[in-house]
Amino acid sequence: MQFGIVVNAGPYTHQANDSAYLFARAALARGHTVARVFFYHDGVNTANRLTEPPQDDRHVANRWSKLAEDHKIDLVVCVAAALRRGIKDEILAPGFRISGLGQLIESGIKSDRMVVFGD
Amino acid sequence: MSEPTSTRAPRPGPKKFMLVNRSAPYGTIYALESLEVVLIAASFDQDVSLVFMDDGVYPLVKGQKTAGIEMKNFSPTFRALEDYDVNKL
Repeated sequence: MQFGIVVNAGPYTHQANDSAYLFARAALARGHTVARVFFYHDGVNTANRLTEPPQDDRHVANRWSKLAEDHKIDLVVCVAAALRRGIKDEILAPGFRISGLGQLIESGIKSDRMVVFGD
Repeated sequence: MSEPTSTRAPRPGPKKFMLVNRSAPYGTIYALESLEVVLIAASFDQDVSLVFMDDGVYPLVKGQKTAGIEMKNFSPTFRALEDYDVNKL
């Protein structure tokens, strides 16, 4: 099955962000596909490569980047939500790109299921 | 159950999108941004319907005066839905 994932919750504040990652990883491990993850609202902060969590904590941006590289996932950050929060091209972690809401709708059209994480 | 289906051809015709509005209009950005998603989905000629529940009914109230909180009153934007053929409210 092809999944589209939407992440609305910010990293480190809401478990929804972690749940989205764990869901994606579990789905891929089961042989499903995740073509695109769309980051919206505070979820866009996930893409900030300047984040430096404590050493014994998970690195949210880095693990999304790695998952994207390993499985060719398109990580899309909503442009309007990103620019409001100072998330720009020059601070994007690897694998992320900034684009519009059209990418969210296209993901909905192409996927068998859309799974939304966060309010 | 775990069979990948990534090679499946895109199905013909529009898909159904239902957006559930649960938030009051100005305390959070959710109500405004849901409206933006609706308009984009409609511009992709998709089958869009909207549900308003809980505090999500408040964006529909007529004659909102938002100057005091320095926010734009976005409720008139709901009128544009008709132009986008979004009729299932």
